[in-house]
Amino acid sequence: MKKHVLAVILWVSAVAAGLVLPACQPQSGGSLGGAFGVRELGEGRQEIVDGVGRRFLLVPEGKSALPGYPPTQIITIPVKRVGAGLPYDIGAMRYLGVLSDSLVGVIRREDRWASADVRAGIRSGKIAYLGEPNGIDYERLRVVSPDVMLTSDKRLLPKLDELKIPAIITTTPMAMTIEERLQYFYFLAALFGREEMAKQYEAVIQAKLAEVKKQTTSVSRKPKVIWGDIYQKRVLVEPMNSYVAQLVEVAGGDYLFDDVRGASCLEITLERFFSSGLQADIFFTYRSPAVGIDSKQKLITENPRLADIKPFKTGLVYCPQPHFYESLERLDDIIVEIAAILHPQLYQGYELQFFQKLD
Amino acid sequence: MNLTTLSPRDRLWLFIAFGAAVVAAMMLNTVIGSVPISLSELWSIIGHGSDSANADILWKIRLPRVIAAVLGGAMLAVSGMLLQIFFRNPIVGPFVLGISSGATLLVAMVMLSTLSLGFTGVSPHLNTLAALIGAYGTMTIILLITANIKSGVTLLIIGLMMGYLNGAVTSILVAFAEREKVKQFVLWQFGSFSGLSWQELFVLLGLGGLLLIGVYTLSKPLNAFLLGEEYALSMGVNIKLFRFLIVLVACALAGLVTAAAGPVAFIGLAVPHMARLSLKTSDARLLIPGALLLGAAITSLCDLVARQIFSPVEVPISAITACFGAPIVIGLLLKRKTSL
Repeated sequence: MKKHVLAVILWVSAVAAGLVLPACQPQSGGSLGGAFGVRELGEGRQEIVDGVGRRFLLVPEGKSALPGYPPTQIITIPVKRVGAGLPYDIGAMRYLGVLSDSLVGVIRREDRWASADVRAGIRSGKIAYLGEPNGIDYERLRVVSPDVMLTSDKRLLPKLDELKIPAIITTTPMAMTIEERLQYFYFLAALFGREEMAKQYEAVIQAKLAEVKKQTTSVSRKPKVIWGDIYQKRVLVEPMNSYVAQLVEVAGGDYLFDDVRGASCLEITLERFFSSGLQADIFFTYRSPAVGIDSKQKLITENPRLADIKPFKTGLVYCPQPHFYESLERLDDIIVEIAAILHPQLYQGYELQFFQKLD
Repeated sequence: MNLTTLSPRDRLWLFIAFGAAVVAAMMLNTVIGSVPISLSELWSIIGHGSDSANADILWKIRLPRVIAAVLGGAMLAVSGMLLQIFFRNPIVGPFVLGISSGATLLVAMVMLSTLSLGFTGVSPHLNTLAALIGAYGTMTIILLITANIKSGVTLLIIGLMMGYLNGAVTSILVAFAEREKVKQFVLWQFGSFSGLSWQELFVLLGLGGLLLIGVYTLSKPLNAFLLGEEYALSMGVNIKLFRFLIVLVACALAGLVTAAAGPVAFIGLAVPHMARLSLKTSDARLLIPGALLLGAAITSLCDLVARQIFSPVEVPISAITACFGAPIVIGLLLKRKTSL
């Protein structure tokens, strides 16, 4: 009997530990040894680590591979034909100057992309449509056979291995902080031999961060900001270790969900959202006209219990414009825009490019 | 049913313990939350009223959730108990007849296609209404079938098939939906007692309360039914009407909870076992109130864990009910060393 009780106690403890431990993991950004790491191996060869810790050997054309890597984790660089599924992969490729020449296939239909160049590419047939995130068209993917497939979906790996198409996971189980996003640029640049562009990108972003920080330190009061999504009966918020929360802090804002940590938008209790919402001056939400939310009233209709929060009464509500998600390469401009929203007195005459105000 | 019995006195103590657990769980849920409210302030808000933010949090958000968890748990547990007796099958839960999948299908139709249908100005109760229609639509089909089929096993299989059919259409809708809408739908599928309005709660309380009282009046025929349909018939039970009533009440209870909170797993399946094993009886007159109280207490405590374990981040309540409830049921079974 004691054995049985012990077994049940152990089971309960294991379950509790399973729930607790992932949340206790550090949620820091990437480093050279972790996700999106890049390591020089000599003679132009490099080792990169993707978002889920898989190591890839990058071998310059004409050079031999090193032992110890599976065939689908050896990539000849510079990569010339890429398939992609995530909006920020597209933005990064655009900045690196390889989008028009290298993008040969995308996941998601033409009308679900905001970038004119991607849409035009799909229309003209230059960029192949490879299916939807929950239903990849493997036959078409095989026909296109990109040198590398950039994806967020680990479930694709066995089939892509079978098709001998190297697949790189460009999301991480951790939050994508600003630092990690910069590191991700180096990682992607290594595939195309565009390391100098990544360096340039980091310099531009760091300079802009410093400039905005300096400009907004003079303000007497930091506007209180919340960032999340309201659904019927439920709310999701961006954790404090997300890059958007970091951007708010850099832009001289006070991000109110400073006790929420996690990898992406998380569901929090309605009462916690309400409590912070009563103090917030500005509410950023991903719910936008693209998904039928074109006013504050629509958000209130979704969740009437939140009608009394300050952004709905006297404050401001902003949502991203459709191309925001495909504009990672313009992070410097996005930082300025957030600062302009938070401190309009410092950026008089500024016209919104990435966000729109919901009235 | 090889059950050693408890004395009436022991059972009384058990019922007092179950009742105390419900009260304690409700009090804990009221006092503890992601926004701290001191006991003195809580007392002041309840006793004297207040216009403060914490008063809004207590009255508009926390208390409806506390009551919904208690009610929902009680209703799911009783629904599961009824169906386990009806099918004489211990692994049957309230959603086995396709109630949950019916609700899910209609919610999917509303959530994943509102934009294309032009219902962008959705009412906040549209999802609840859709879930209710889905659950009761499936229930109506099941009831029509029940009227023509005698075998419980056949009905069980038809219920499972209904579930597959509903699931198939739902998956097609998901496959064609936009990511943002799928996110919203997945959130609903997690199930939660968060965000219920007082109106929804009054519906749950009114209809659910009536159904629960109605169930108790079925206790005697349920006991007769446990001993076989022939025996029940010899005791004067109208089998056809009785089968119809059991399925109607069980589905109606589960459908109401699903409409209000989304699918909440495990409670309807496991709590009846817990009640049966702790009360050591198969007498429906004891099992129904036992399951009701245990369902209320366990669901309430699970809801507390779901919202506090990583506070203010919420964990799906079904994850908590399954993680902590399943080992308890296994423990009870091992302790008894008997079949159900």
